[in-house]
Amino acid sequence: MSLTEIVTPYLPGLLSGFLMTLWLSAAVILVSTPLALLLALLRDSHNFWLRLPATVYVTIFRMVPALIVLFFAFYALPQLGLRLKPVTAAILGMVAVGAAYMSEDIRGGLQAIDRGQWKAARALGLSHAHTLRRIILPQALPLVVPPYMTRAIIMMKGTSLASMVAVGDLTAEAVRASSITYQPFIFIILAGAVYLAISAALVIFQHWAEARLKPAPMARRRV
Amino acid sequence: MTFRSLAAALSFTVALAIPVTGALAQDATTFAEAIGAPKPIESYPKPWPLANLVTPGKLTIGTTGASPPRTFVDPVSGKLTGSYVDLFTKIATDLGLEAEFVKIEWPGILPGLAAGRFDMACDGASMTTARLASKDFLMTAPTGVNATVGLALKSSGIKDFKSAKSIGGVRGEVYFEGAKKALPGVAATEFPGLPESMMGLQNGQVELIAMNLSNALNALQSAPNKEELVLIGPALEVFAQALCVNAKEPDLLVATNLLLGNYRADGTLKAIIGKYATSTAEVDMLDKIGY
Amino acid sequence: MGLPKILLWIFGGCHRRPGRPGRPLMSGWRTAVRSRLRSPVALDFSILAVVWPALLRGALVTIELTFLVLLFATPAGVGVALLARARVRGVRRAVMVASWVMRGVPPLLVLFLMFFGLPVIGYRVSPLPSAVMAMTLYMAFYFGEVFRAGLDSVPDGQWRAAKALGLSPARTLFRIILPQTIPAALPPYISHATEVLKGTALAASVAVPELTSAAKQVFVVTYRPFEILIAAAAIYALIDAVFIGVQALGERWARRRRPAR
Repeated sequence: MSLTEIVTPYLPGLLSGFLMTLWLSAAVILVSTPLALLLALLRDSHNFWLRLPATVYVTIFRMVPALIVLFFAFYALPQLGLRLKPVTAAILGMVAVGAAYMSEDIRGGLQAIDRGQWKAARALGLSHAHTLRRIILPQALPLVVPPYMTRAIIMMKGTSLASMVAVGDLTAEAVRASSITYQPFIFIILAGAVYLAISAALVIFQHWAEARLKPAPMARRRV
Repeated sequence: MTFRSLAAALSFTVALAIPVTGALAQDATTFAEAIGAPKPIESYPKPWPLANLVTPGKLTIGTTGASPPRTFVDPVSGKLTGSYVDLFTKIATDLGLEAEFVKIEWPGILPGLAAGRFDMACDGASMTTARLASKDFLMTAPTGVNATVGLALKSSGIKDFKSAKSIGGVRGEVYFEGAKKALPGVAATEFPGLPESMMGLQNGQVELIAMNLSNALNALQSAPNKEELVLIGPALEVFAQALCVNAKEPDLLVATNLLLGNYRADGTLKAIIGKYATSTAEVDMLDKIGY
Repeated sequence: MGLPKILLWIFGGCHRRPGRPGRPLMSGWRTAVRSRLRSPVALDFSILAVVWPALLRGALVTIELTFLVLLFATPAGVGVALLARARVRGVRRAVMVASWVMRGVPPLLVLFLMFFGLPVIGYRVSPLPSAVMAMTLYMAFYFGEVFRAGLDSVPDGQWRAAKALGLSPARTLFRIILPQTIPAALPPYISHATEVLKGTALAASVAVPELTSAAKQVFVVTYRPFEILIAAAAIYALIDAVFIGVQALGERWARRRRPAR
C-alpha cells in the first residue's frame, strides 16, 4: 500500500482534528489572556485580600500537571453535578492552567516598568485604570510580547492533551488513524509537521508584532 | 502394538469391503481403537527456540489493562490481572519464558506491535479482513467469539442503538468504529479507554457506549453502577477473536497456535475464561466456527 | 476474582453516585433543594485509604522519571548551549533548527515517536528508558536556552583570560564559566525542572506507570475521580515544593558566593 493510499481515507478526520486544534488553541489563548492580565494585576495589588487568592490560585495551578487539571474538569466535576462536554471541559481545564502561567509572563513585563511611574501618574491626578491603560500597559507590551508568544505556542502544543479527555483534536485523529491502520509513524509525523507549521505561523506573528511595537520606546524617549 | 496395528489394517481392509453407510462409522471406531484416546500434543520443544523475541528470555506482551474481565488492574494491589493476562502468562510459561506485560492504551497496541514493541498483544482482537490481511502483525487461531453491543443507563430509557442520540467508545476499536458506521450522523465521542467511556456514560456525557459483549457482561456484573446499566442489543456485528503476534515472529505464531489447540482440548482455555466470567459461552461457541 | 469483591467492599451500598436530576436521595422538597445546593455526591476521602498503594507506586515512578530526565537533560542542555555558540556556522544552524523543531512539536508526539521509533531502528528498550530519552531530547533544548542565557551573562573575556593563564578549555568551562552562570541560570533552571516533573504526566501514554496514570487507573474503576485527583495533585505539589526548596537554597548559596567573585 502506498503512502497516499494509507493516508487518504483519514484525511477528512485529520482535517476536522486540525480545525479542532485551531479552535481549541484560539479559544484557550484568547480566554486566558484577559484572565491572566487580571491575575497579574491582582498579584501586584496593594490589597492583601486581593493579592492572596490570586497568588494561591497561580501557585496551585502551576504546581499541578495540566493533565491532572484536565482530568479533573472532565471526570471529577460531574461528581459535583457539573457535566461538561469534552471540548468545554478541555478548554476550561487548559484555560485554568494557561492563565496561571500566562499571568506570570505578563507580571514580569509589568514589574519591569518603574514603580515611580505609578506614583507620578497618581501625583498628576490620573485614575488607577487610566494609568494602567494609557501609561503602564503600552510600555509593558513590547516587553510582554516575547514571553507571551512563547507561552501561546506552549499552550497551542498543550491542546494535544485534549485527546486524553475524549476530544477529537489533531493528536486524537492521528492516534485513531494509527490505531486502525497499525502505522506507528506516518500519522504521528504528519501531525507533528502540522503542529510545527502552526507554531511557525505563531513565531512569524511574534516577529511581526515585535517589529510593530518597536517604535514605541523611541517615541517615548522623544516625549 | 504390532498386533493392534495389524488388527487395524485388517479391519480397514474389511471395512473397505462392506457397504458405504456402515463404513464411516466402522472407520471411526476402528481408528479410535487404533490410536486410543488422543492426547493434546506434548511433543513440542521445551523451551521453544524462538529466534526473534523482543527481549530474549521474555515474552513481551502489550495489553491495555483496561478491559475487564480480560485485562484489568486490581485497584488495591495494583497488579495486572484478568483472563487474558492469565492466558498470556500460561503461554509464556509453557514456552519456557517469563511473561512481561507492557500496559498501554488501545490506540498504541497494534501500532506498537507493528513497530516491534511487543512479541504478542491483543486481549482477543476481532478478526477483520483488514487485520487478517495486514503485513504488520499475525493473528493466532481464534480464542473466543465476541459481538458489538451497547451499554446505556436504565434511566435514559434507551432500548436500542437507533434511539441513542450520542454514542461513545474506545478510540480506534472495531466495535466503536462499526457502531459509528452503523449509526451515521449520531454524535460520537472517542475515549482513550473503556473505563473512561464507562465514566463518560455514568456522567451523562454520552448516552450509549459501544463495546464488546464480554466487557459489557462484566460491567453488568461488577461495575460500581451495575444496577443502573442496561445491555443494548441485538449485536451489531459478531467477531471471532484471536491474539496478535509480531510479524517478525512466525515461530511464535506456530508455537502459540499449538498451545491454544492444547488449551482448547484439555479445557484450560475454558477454565481460564470461567475464572473471571460467569459465562464461558465465548469459548464454547468456538465449536460452532470450527475451533 | 478480586475486583467485584473489592468494589463491593468499597461501595457497599453506602454511596450515592453522581446525581442525575430528578432522583433525589430522600423525598421532600427540602432535601431535594439541599441536595442541589450541596454537592450531589458526598465527597469521601476514605477511598484514599484503599487506593494509596497504587498512588504511592505511581509517585515513585514519577520521581524516578523526573530524576533520570534531569540527570541526562542537564548536561545535554549545557552541550546544546555550547553548540549554539560554536564557531562553525553549520553547527549553530543545526542546533537552531533542532531546537525549533523540538520546541514546536507537542511533547506527546515526541514521546510517541520515541516509543514506536526505537524498536524499528533496532533499539530494544523498555518503556521507561524510551520515555526518559524522549523527554531528555526535548528538555535538552529548553535547558539549552536557559544555559545559553547563563553563558551570555559571563563576559567572553574570561575565556581569553583563562586561555592566557594556560587553563584547558574543559577546566575553564567547569571551574570558571559554569559556576558563574548559576545565579542567572538557577531560577529558570528550577522552573524548567518543575516542568519536567509535570511533563512526566504525559509518559502515561507510552506505557510508563507514573502517578497520573496510576490515579486514572484507580479513579476509573472506583468512580471517585474527585478525591483521587485531589490526592494526586497534592502529591505533585509536594514534590514541587522540594524543587522550590532547592531553588531557595540555591539562590541563597549563589548570593553568598557573589561577593567572593
